[in-house]
Amino acid sequence: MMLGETAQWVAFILFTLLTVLGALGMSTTMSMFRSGIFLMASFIGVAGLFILLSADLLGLLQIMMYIGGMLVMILFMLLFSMDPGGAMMAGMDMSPVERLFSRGLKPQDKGEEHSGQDDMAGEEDSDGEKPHDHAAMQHSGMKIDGEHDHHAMHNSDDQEGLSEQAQPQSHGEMADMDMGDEDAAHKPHDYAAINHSGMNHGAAEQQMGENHAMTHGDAGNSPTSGEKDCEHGQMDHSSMDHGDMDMGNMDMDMSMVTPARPWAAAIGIAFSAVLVGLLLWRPTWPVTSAAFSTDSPREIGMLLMGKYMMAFEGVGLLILLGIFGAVFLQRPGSHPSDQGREAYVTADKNPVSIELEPEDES
Amino acid sequence: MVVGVAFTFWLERALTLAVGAAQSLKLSEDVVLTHADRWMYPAGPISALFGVTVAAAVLPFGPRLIGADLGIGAFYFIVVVDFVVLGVALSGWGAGTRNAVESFYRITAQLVSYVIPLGLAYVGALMMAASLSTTQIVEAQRDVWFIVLQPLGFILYLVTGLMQAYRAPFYEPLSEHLGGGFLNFVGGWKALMWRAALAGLLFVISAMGAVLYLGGWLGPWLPPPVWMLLKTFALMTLMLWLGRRFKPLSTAQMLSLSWRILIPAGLLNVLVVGGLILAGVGPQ
Repeated sequence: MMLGETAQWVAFILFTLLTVLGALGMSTTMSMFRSGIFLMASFIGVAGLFILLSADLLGLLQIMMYIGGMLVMILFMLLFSMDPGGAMMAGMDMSPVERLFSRGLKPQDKGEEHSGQDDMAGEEDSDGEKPHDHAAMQHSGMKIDGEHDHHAMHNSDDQEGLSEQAQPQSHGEMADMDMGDEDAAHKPHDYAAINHSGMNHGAAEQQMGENHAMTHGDAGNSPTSGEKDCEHGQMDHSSMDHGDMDMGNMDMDMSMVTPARPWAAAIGIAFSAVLVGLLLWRPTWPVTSAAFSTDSPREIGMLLMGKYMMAFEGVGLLILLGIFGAVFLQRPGSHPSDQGREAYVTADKNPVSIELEPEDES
Repeated sequence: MVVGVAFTFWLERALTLAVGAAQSLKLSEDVVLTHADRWMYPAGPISALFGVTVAAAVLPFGPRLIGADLGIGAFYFIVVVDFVVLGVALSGWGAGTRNAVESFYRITAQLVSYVIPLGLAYVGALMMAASLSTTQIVEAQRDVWFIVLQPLGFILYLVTGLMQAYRAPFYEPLSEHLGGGFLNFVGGWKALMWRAALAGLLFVISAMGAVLYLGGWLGPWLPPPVWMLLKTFALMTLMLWLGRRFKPLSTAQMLSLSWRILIPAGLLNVLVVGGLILAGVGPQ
């Protein structure tokens, strides 16, 4: 008996820790993939709590839903997001919690981000990445040295179009900044490089100009400006092994310094205070008198198959129609796949058409 | 479990010359990856082996010879086998190489394609047994095996089981076109664990097939565990042999096979089984 109770307590503590730490990691890590995995871990912890409450079926359902569902969600997230591996963010200034949950993330090389293949440099593919690695290395070396390496960086980093335009500005900037803060002096160049390899040229130039001005103004005295902050981050934890600060910088403005963040924390704390308060107060609401039944799956089944049968069947039919519609919309031929992926398709180019629909082929 | 894995490994090597994807892993040397994620990459094989081992707990090898006779055993089995896919995801992404990530994408797509027909293949047997407990399912087949009553469900289980085990026609995520997928980037103890996990995966899937459709441990003369193992390996041999008869399918083809053939077939099987139960055929 004693042993059983101890085991229960240990299991409860473990599952609770898993749940809470998973949630914390989910909201603080820099990598979206990790974020998804942490969310999954958190839900699995909740499932463990269900099982401790002897609701096995519910717990297992939860695990099943969230392993499969979360993996599919992660897949879509990876396909559609710009920086799923957190490589851009990895070199940024982070709070200790964020640093803890983002440990071991590798900052990203420029070429790879462009290729859309996340932060992957395969063993076979590594020859393609070499120059970039080189450039990145010089870049990080440059932080310590000064002007000369900046030139070297310019050359090694063959960004023709835009960075040529950017060059005069950069030089001017550098001349200005030579006396003091070298780090800030690199910013405009970095912006140019990024935006070039990125998407939008026109906007890039404008943005570059603005940031220029900003850097000038803020470099000396305002540590709160985004870029400045970021540079501090890099200087501080050099153990993180970040080659490319510029990536982080670019993203700074977009997502990292969300003004709502302190609010989110405040709201979270307020909610938990309310929850704990309710737990202590235990108001007598009408719901509390409802009888708790351990046989709830059976009751739900009875309700679905008895009282709510028609609604249940109707919803089932609607979902089935939706599935058929989705399959119909996705029929091959309407969306030819991209050339690059063709190489990865294993079987031959003309798949044997499957018998059900003879008119179908691709 | 260990014996089962060893037998599976041997049988697969004997039967299929170059297909078992994990067969060529090098155990003696570890592979060092420059872009690997230090936490997720080793977590993959651990998660996968955990799933397989825990799944083996509900397989009955005799009337009392079972790790844990859960009331919801079959459902539990489906759930914990998913940890293998999670392991692949962790390992594939964590390896941080192009082919590994690609193979992770594909394995997720494969999960989407097999999971519904697999569930339908279970549902047929579960409806007849009127229980989720694995021992009850076997007991329900005392008179006649479910393979006789629902051959369609059995075929469905063969196909989806192969898909779930990443064996012959459905091994695209691990194929040589992707450089062996994520498996190419493991070595040392991780390779050993992946080997055990993938062989064990095939073993538990065949054992579950034997439980669902071949009457588990039931049989004359021989002791129950022997029957169970015999049926398991017979089913495994059948699956591997049949799988070798077909051309390997790409992930897209698997998805289309699943949606166009397997799911309708599974629904049909459920309908037929419902009719049989209404007609009074099968265990009472």
